[in-house]
Amino acid sequence: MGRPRSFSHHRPLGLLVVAGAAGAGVLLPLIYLLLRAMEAEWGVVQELVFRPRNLYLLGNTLGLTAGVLIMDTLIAVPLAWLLTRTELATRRWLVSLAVLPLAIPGYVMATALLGLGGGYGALARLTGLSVPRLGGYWGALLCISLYTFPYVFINVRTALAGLPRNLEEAARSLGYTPRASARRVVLPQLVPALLSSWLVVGLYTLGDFGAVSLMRYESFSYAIYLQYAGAFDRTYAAWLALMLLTLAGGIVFVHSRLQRGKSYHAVGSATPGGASPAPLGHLRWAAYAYLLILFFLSLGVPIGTLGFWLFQRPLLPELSSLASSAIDTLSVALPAAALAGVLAAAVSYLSVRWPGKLTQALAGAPYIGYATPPLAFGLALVFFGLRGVPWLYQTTALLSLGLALHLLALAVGPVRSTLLQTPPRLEEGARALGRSWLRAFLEVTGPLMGRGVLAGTALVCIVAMKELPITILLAPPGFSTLATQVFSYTSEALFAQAAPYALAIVFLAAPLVTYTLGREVNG
Amino acid sequence: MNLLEVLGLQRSFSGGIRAVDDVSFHVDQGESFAIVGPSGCGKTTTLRLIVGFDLPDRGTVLLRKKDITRIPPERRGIGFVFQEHALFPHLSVHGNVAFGLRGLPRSVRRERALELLRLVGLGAERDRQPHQLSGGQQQRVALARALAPGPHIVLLDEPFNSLDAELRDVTRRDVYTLLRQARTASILVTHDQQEAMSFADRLAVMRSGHLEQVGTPSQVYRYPQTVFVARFLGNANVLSAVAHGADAATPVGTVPLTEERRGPVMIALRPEALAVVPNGEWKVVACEYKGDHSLLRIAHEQTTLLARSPAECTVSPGQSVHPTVLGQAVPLQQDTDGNGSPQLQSGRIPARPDR
Amino acid sequence: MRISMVLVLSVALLFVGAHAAQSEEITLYSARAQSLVGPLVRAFEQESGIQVRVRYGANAQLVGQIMEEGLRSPADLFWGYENSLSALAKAGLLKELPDDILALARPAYRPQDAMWVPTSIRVRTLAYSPDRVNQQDLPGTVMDLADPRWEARVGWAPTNAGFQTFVTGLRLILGEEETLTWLEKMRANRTKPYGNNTALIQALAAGEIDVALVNHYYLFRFLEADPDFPVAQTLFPEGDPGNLLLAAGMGLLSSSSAAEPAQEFIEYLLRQEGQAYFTRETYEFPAADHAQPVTSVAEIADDAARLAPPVHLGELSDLGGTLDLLRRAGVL
Repeated sequence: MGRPRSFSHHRPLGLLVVAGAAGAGVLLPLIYLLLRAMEAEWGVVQELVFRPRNLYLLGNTLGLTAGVLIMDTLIAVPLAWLLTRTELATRRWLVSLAVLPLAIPGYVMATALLGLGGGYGALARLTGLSVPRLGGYWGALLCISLYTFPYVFINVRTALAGLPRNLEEAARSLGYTPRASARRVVLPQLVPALLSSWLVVGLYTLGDFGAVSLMRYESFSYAIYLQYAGAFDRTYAAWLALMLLTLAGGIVFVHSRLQRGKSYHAVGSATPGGASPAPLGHLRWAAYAYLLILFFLSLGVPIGTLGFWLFQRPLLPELSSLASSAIDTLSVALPAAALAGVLAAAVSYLSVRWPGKLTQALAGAPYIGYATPPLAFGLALVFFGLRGVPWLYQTTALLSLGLALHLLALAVGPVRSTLLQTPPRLEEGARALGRSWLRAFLEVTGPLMGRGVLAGTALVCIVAMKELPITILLAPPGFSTLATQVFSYTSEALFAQAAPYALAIVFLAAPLVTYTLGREVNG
Repeated sequence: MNLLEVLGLQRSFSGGIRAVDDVSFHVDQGESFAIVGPSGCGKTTTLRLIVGFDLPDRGTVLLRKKDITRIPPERRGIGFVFQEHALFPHLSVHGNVAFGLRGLPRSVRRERALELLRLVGLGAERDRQPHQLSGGQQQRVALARALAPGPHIVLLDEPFNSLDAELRDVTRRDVYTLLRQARTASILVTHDQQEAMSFADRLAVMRSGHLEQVGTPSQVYRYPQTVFVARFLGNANVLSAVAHGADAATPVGTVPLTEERRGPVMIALRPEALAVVPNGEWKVVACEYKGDHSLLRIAHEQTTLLARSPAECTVSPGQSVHPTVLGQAVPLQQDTDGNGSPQLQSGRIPARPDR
Repeated sequence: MRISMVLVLSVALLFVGAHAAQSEEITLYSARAQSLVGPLVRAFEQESGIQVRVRYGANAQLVGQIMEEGLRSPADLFWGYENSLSALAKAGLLKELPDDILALARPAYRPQDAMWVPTSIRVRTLAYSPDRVNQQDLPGTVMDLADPRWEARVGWAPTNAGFQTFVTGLRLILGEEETLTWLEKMRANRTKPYGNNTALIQALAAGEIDVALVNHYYLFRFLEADPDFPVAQTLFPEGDPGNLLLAAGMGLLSSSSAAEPAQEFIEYLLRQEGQAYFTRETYEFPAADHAQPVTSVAEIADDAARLAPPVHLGELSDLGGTLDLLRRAGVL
C-alpha cells in the first residue's frame, strides 16, 4: 500500500497520549490474566490446561470459526451484490433489514432457532410437522452466522458501492464473461473488506459462549467457562484465556500481514458505483426467494419467537420496569459508544497518518481486548478498578469505560477504512492555509471521518446493549439493563416475561441500525 | 474494406431522451476515426453501444460484416480504453497487460505482455502497482492492456482527459504512433476538436445524439456543412448573407463563396480569411496575442467577428478598422432545429420578409 | 458531559451509600435471579426499613467477582448455592454465622462449618417424557441409566452446579471408584450433555431425549406457562442417590461492615414469610424447621424428604474432587 505521506515528523503528543491510554486500557485484562496465571502450579497447568481435550476443543472452535466465516461470506457477498448492483439497489429498506439482525442477541437467536424444531417446537405446533432441532456444529454455525453476517455485509456493500464499474467493463472488453470478471476483478478487490470483517466475526466466534453452549457445541470457551463456573477458579481459567488470546493474537497478526498491500488505492479519478442497476430478469424470483429465506431466518424467527412468548401469556410487564431498564441500558451503551468512537478516532488517525510499529500496535491492541473473554475482561476491571480507582468502582462510568474498551475494535474498523480513503492532501491543504494539525483535523479530517465514526459508534452501541458478563460485574447494584433482565428471566425459563425486554433491545437498536449503518454508503 | 459499420444506431434513456439518434458511420481497416462533440452529445454512449456495454434500441453494429449488435462484449474482440484508465488496482502493471491474454501458455503471455509494455515504453515498470505510475504512464498501460489481445479495433473514450495539457499532446502522439505500428483501427471520442483533428484520419462531429458531418479533418474544417460544425471546429465567423451565385453580400462586404447559392444564406468565414486595415466603421474590441499570429475581435453594431492578423498586435482596442476578405466563405445548411448554434455570436439573423 | 454527570452522581451516591451503610443499608450479590427473588427482597425492605442494594448475576460471575474483590468487596451478603457458598467459605471470604441464625434451619440441612445457612431446599429428580416412557419402565435407580436400554436416551448437564453436587453425593455413597465406573458407563451409553436444567427440559419436550437428570423446580415453571407441557418428573425409590437434596443458601461476607442488618435479612428469609414465598413462588421446599410447604409442592416436598439418600447437605463441599472425577471420566 502506498504509505500516506506524513506531513509532520512529530506525532501529536496529545493524540498519542489518548491512543496510548486506550491501548493500555484495552491490554489491562492481559496483564490481569498474566498476574493470575503466574499463581499457577505447573503440574496442575499440565493437567488442566494442556490436556488433549482442550486441544480437541480448540480444534472445534477453529472449525466453527472457519465455518462461520465461510457462511457469512456466502450470505453477505451475494446480498451486497443484490443490494448494490441490481434493480433491488433502489429499495433502501432492504438494506436496513439486512443490517438489523445485528441487533438480535445471540442467546435470543439460539433459543429461537432451537424452539423451531422438535416435538414441542413451533413448527410442530403450527404445522404438525416435527423436524429435529438444530444443534451441534451446524446449529451453532447457522445461529452465529445469522446475526454476524451483517458485519460482512456492511463492509462488502461499502466496498462494492465504491468500486468503479468500469473495471468490470474493462474485463469484459478483454474477453471475460460477467462471471469471470466478477471472480477475477471484483472479488479480489473485496478482499480488504472481507478481511476486516472476518477479523471481527472470527474473534467474536472464537470467544462466544452463549449461542455455542445453547447449541450444545463444545468449544474452547466452554473449557474456560467450566473453569470459572465449575471450579470457581481464576488461575487456570486465566491460562485457558491466555491460550485463546494467543490464538487471537496470531489471527490479528496474520490479518495485519494479509491486509498489508491489500488496501487498494483507486487509480485515476474513477466514478464509483455507476450506471443503471442490472435488471435481474428471470433471476428476480430467485433473488426474492433468497431474501425471503434469509430475512425469515435472521429476523422472522427470533422476532416471531419473542412475539410468541409475549402473547403466550397475556401478562403485560410492568411498563415502568421496562422503561427503567431501557433507560439504564442507554445510559451505559450511549456513553460507551461515544467514548469508543473518540478513542477509535484517535487510534485510527495515528496509525493511518503516522504508520509505524508503535501506532500499528496501538491499532491492533483493541482486537486483543475484543477477543478477551468478557468474563475475564470484567474481572480484570474489578481487580484494577478496586485497586486503582475505588471511587469509580460500581459506577456506570466504569461500566461504560469497560464496555468502550472491550468493544473498541468494532469502532476502529470502520473509522480506519474511512480514514484510509481520505487523502492526507486535504489536511496538508488545510495546514498550508495556516491551520495547526489539530485545527486541520477538526475542520477537515474530522468531518470526513464522521461517517466511519458514526458507523463504529453505532456498532459499539448495539453490541453494548446486548452485552452481559461485563455489565453484570461492573454495574452498580440495583442497575438492570434490558440484557440483564432477559438473562434473569430466560435463565429461569420464564420466557414470556423475558420477551418484552428482548424485543425492546431490537427496537432500540433498529433506528440506530437504519440511520447509521444502513446509510453508511451514502455518507 | 469496412472494418466496422454502424447503421442507424439509436438509444434512449429513461425520460425519453434520445442519447444516440440514428447514427451511422464506418471505420476502415487500420483507420483512426474520431467522434468529436460537446459533452453530453452522445458520443460516449455510441462507443459503449459499439463495444457492447450497452445495447441499442435500434440499429446494427457490423464488425467485418458480422452482426455483433447483441453479442456480449467479451466476444466482440474490441479493445476499450477508459477515460479514467480503469487499471486493475490489485494487479501489477504486467498483470494488467497480461489480463486479456487468456488461454495462452504462461511464457507466451509473459512475453506478449512484456512486448507491449516495451512498445509503450514501460518495460521497466512492469512490476509496479498502477497507483505508483503517473497519469500518462497509466494511460499507456491502459492502451497496452487494450492492445494485448490483438483486437480488431480499439475504442478510446476521452483517454487524454485526465492528463495535463503538455502530457496530453505527447501521449496523444505516442498513442497515435502505437496504433499505427500495431495496425489497429481505432475510434477516439473527445470533446477537444484540436485533439480530434490531429489524431484522426477521418472524424465525425456529433451533436445532440446525431452526426452532423463526417469526413477528413481538412474536409470538415474547410467545408463545414452546418453552423454547429463551423463553430465547433475552429472559430469560424458565422454570418447571415444574401447569396448571388458565386458570391454573397455580407456585413463585411461581398464575399466569394465556395459553391454557388442564391438568396439568404448562413456562411462561415474563417478568421484567417479576414484581415483588417486601419480606419473604418468597425472597432477593435480585443487583440489576443498567439505567438505566430494575433486574433482580433472586431465589432460593428451587433456583429462581432474574429480576424487574423500578423504576429504583433498592430492595432489596439478602440481603434477603428476596416475588414477585408482574403478567402472564400462556406455557405451552410440551415440548422435542422431552426435556431442557430447556442454559441452563435455573430448577431441575430435579420428578419427575411421574403421567406 | 453525560459521562461526567453520571460520574458525579455516582460518586455522590457512593458517599450517600457509604454513609447509609452504617445504619440501614446492605449490599447483596444474588445468584438467584431477580425474576424469582426480587419481590421477596422488596417485601423485606418494606417491612424492615433496611435498604437492600442487589447485584443480580450468574453464580460463577458473582463468585469470581467476590474472589477478585476480596476484603474490599462492597457486598455484605452472597446468595447462591451449596457449591458456590462452600467455595467462598474455603477461600476464607465468609464470616461464621451466629448460632441463633443457624438454628433456624433444619439440622439436617446445616453445613458443618457454620459458614452459611440454607434458605430453601430443592431435590434432584428424573424428568421424563410420558409419551415415550411408560411409568412402569422408569428406572429403579439412577444407576440403571447406564444400562444399554437407556442408550442415547438420557440427558444430563455436567457443567451444572446441581448435577455436580449430585456427583459429590454419589462419591459419598458409592465411593470414588464406583462413581467413576458409573460415569464412564454413562458416557459410553451416549448420554447427551446439555448446558443446564432448562435446556434439558426443552430437549425432553423436543423429543431429543427421553429422560433427564434435573432439579425439580424448573418443570413447574414450564407447566405454569403451558399446563399441557409434555414432560413429567419423578423421584427414584427411597434412599437412591438420584434423589439428592440440594440447598440454596446465604453467606455473610468477611468484608461486610453491616453484619447486623445483613443477619436481619437472613432471619427474614428463614422465618414464616420468607419460607412461604419460596414454596409459593419458586416451587422450592422450606429450609426452616417450622415452615410447611404450600400445596403445589407439598407432595414432592414430602416425597423428597422421605426418599432422600442418607447424605448430609453439609458434607457436599468437595467440589474439586468431583470435577477431578468428571474430568477423568471424560465427562468434562
